[in-house]
Order: sequence, then C-alpha cells, then structure tokens
Amino acid sequence: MRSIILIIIIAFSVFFLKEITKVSALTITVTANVPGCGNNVIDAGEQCDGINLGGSSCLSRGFASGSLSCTSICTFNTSICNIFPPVINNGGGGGGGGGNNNAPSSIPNTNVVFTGRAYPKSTVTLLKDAQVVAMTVADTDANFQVTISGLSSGSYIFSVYSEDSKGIRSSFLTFPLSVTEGVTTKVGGIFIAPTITTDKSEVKQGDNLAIFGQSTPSSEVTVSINSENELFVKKTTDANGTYLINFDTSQLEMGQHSAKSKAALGGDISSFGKVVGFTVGAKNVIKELTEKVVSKADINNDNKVNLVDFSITAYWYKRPNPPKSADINGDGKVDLVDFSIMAFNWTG
Amino acid sequence: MNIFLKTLILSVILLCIPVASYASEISFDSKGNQFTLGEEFIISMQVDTQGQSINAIEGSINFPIDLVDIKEVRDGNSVVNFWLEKPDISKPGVIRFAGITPGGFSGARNALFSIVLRATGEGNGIIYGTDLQSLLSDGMGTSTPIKNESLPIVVSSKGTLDGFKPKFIFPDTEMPEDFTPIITSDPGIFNGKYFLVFSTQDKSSGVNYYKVREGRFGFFVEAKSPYLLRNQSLSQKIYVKAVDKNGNEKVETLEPQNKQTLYQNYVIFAIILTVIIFILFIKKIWLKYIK
Repeated sequence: MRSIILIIIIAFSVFFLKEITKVSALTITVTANVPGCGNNVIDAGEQCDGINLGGSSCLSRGFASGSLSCTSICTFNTSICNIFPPVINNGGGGGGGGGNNNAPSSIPNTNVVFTGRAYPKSTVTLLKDAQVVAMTVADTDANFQVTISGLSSGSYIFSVYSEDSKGIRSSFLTFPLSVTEGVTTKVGGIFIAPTITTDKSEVKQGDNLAIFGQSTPSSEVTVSINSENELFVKKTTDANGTYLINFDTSQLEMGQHSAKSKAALGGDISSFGKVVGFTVGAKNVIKELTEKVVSKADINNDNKVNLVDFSITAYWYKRPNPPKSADINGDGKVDLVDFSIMAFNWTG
Repeated sequence: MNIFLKTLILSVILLCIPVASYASEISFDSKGNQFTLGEEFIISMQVDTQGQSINAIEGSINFPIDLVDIKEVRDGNSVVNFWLEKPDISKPGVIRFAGITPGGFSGARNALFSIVLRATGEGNGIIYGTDLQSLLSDGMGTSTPIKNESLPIVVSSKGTLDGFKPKFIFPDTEMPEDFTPIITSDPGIFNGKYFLVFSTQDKSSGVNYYKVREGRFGFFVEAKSPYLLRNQSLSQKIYVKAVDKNGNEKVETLEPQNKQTLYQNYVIFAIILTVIIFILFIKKIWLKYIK
C-alpha cells in the first residue's frame, strides 16, 4: 500500500512540475500594428505593405541579390538580401570587374531571377513545380522582378501568372528550367499575355460587343476573333494598361464565337492569352463581371486550385461512385481527363 | 493492266489507309540495345510533345521478363509534378504510370522517368508501351495519340550472373525539398474528417515514400496524401517525413491547431494513474495468492 501512495505522490509531483514548467515557458508575443498596415496598399509612412513592395527589390535597395520582403510593421525586410553577388556568371558581361574583390569564399547560392512585364500594380504569382513560391507586385510600368533562392540543382517547371485590376486572371506562362548549383539563372523578357473579357455573354447580331482587358501600358494589343474568317483588331493600351474595343458584330455569323488577345511592346511580344467565349444571337445578355471564376476544378471552393483539390480528387481516382464535386467533367468517373482540366485551371 | 491503272489502284489503297497523326511521342533513350548477361543498364523515358502543350500523361511500359529484371524506377527530374500512379511495377514486367503537370509542358526531350534494368536471360525481346495517352492543356482534357517507339534488345551470353555488382550508384546526399503539409477537411472524402495533404520533390533520386507521426510520442507510419488524421482534435504536433530513394530524409512539423487544455492533460494523467494502480493491485492479489 505504501508503494502505491509513493507512486501517486511521485506521479502528481512530475505532472504538476510539468504544468508549472509549461506556464513558465509561455511566451507573450507583442505584435505592433501600424494603422492601415496589412492591407497590401502602401499608405503614408509605410515602406511596403504585405506583398506590395512598391516595385522595390534587393537590387533597388543597394544589395547585389536576394529576396526582399515586408515586415508586419510595413518596413522592408532585407535579411534575405545579399551584399555580395552570388553569381558565378560564365557568360555575358565580360569586363565589368570593379566592385567587390572581397567576395565571400562560401559556396554561392543557387538562385533564379525572373523579370518581365505583367499589368500595372498587379500581383504576380510564381510557382515552382506547381506550388506557389513567391508573389510580388508589378510597378506602375507593369515591370516585375522575382528572385528565388536555395534551390537544388535539377530540372524545374516554373510558372507565372498575374491578376489584373478587375481580378481577372491571366493564362499560365510556363518555363521548364535546368538549374545548376551555385549559379544564378536569369529568366528575362517574360511578357504575361493580356487579360480579356466581354461585356455580354450573348450579343444581338449587329450590336457592339465590348472586348476589354489589361496589359502593359502603351502596348499594342491584338484581339483575334474566331469566326469563319479569323478577324484581328488592334488597340493601344492606355497609361493603366487597359484596352477597350467596341466590336461591331455585324461581321460575325450567328452562333458561338471566341476571342483571345496578345500584346506587343518594344519588340517583345506575348503569346495569346485566355480565350473568352460569346454567342452572336437574337438578343443581348449582359455578362456579370464576376470574373474571379470559381473553377469547377476548385473542389473545396477556396478560390484556388492547388494540392488540396488535387488530393481530394486523387482520392476518388478510378474509384466507383465519386461525388459530383470530384467528377470535374461530370462523366460519372474520376480519370485523367478530370486531372487535365484541373491542371489547366491550376492556381497553386 | 496498264501502268496507269496500277498506279491508280495503289493510290486509292494508300489513301484508304488511315494515317495517324501524333501529338506526342514517347521514346526510350538507352546507350545501345545489346547487353550481356548480368549487365545493368538504364532506359530513360522521354516525351516529345511535337509542339503541343500537354498537361497529363499515362500508360504502361512492358518488359520481356525472361530477359530483364526491373531493379529500380527513378523519377527525380520528371516533367510530371504530381503522380496519380507513381511509376512502379504494377505486375511482373509492367511499369504503370499516370500524372499531371499544371500549366502543361512542351518540347522535344522532356524526362518522364528512368528505369534501371538488369539482363537476366539470353535472347531477343522488345520493350514497348501500351495504353499510352496524353491530354492537351486546353481546359477540356482533349486526348491526343502518342506515337510509341519500341526498343528491341538483345542479351548475349558473354556475361555471367555470378558475382554481380550493381553498376549504377547514384550519388544523392541532398534531402527532399522543403514542403508545407496542409491540414484540411472536405465533405467529399473521409466523411468530412480532417486529413493531411503533402507533396514535395527530390531532384536527384526522387521521393520514395512519406511517413506521418502524430504527437511527440507517436510512431512514424508510412502514409500517402491525402492522409486521414487519427487525432481529429488537432491537439498534437504532426510530423511529415519525406524520404528519397537514397534514404535522405526531410521532416516538416505542423504545430497543433488546438492545444490540449489542462483538463485534457488531467484526463490523460488520471487514465495512466488508474492503470498503474490497477497493475499494482493485481500484483498484490497475485502475491497473496501464491503465498
């Protein structure tokens, strides 16, 4: 009996000691919140806000390379910026010299730097092997730069997309890339295709159809309209990168049509972007501008198509009686076709 | 029959033969096709999209099992991001695979996976694909035919199966890449219970398997994404381990979403204490009994 009492006392002592230690180990975190900070808009007194770096980068802050981010009190976080260039650049440049002769002897980082054009002040999302690795905000001229570090050497598939001021998503731009250890790879000249939408889902033959979207400011947008003979209309974007074409549908036959657009600026040219469909019929049907399209591939309705949706659908792959939500094309089974549609609508 | 009529008939016959147009092509890249008994060799599967953008691919690769033994499948540098069926031996002499690449891929030499084989029997045979299908990245999953190149192989008796040493040693000291497991729930699976999703890459040898451990004192169990969590109260740490084919490990930890309350700790303590008292009680009775 004495041994039982002894065990109970020891057990209670150990337990309470553990609880006391837990309490004393508690940490109180104080978070400083600046009014307006955290809304992704750079207000007065803020250097940056969330993912909005106002076009700044490690380079523009006087560093040689790295990834600039924003702190919770809306000041720049340069902790991942590098003072010394980590680049062992075999080609290009030549000469140059100067600069730092006291370069560090440590193994240089394996980086990839992406630069290109999107839409003014738009959010640009970078995916590495289909998972989001970085987001940045393009400057007022639609230029963006993203650097990612700490990669292993090997083959990667990088993708980039953006969202215009109305929340319309661009098409994916994909770059297969072989990364070499200790070398900074630069991917320049990325030109994200313009966004496109229409004001009507059905237009009365002979009435005007507004075709509009966003691209780089002062770029020449070419809209291709699918009909018996493909029609091309050109328009220069304004200072905000927006374009609007009032298209006379008397040139089109009755039935289903589609339009897509590409942009050109200073010798650079984008690929054609997403395709928007419309009908030429007997009446006008105004299109709701809820273009934050909730894709059928967004299984869990979180406005993203990513690993979670893939995993839910993969659970039903080749299983009988899948739920309607997982059967993306509604053919009663979950097979490779459903996953192809999901891969097309992927956002990461 | 004059020559004109012959030419006409031949032309009509040729026109009637359906000409397949291929949107992509799978090829077998190997250093030669003549091997000696006991020799190890690698075949790299590559996809040429013929200018199209493809985002899904599936099929089976068949091997003459009387000539070769499949030693290993490596998918570290694959163009496929997510496997639905990770390339693996589905039945003797057959490797089955299915996967997707969000955003799609195009180009002439896209690595799919590579296979390490060992010649185990003499003779001639063919390595070939079946049920091959690729889907266009067009938002509709349009199927396109795949031209399937076969690889004839010859195994001669010059070598020997005795004293065999593996020829291919893959130097891989890097662990799989960082990843973020996600806890989620959906009415579509596991009756709406919480589950875990995870995926990462290993650019050298490829991820071999994952293991999940729930709680500090739990045990790692082999797991596939999506993984149904046992601790539905989400009150314990979760550890997800990715292990590559060379045994390098990467462990990611998820903090408990709902920390255990003091009350729950007391309950656990009370249970442990009851068990201890019960054991001691039984022991006492047993000691009395044997006396």
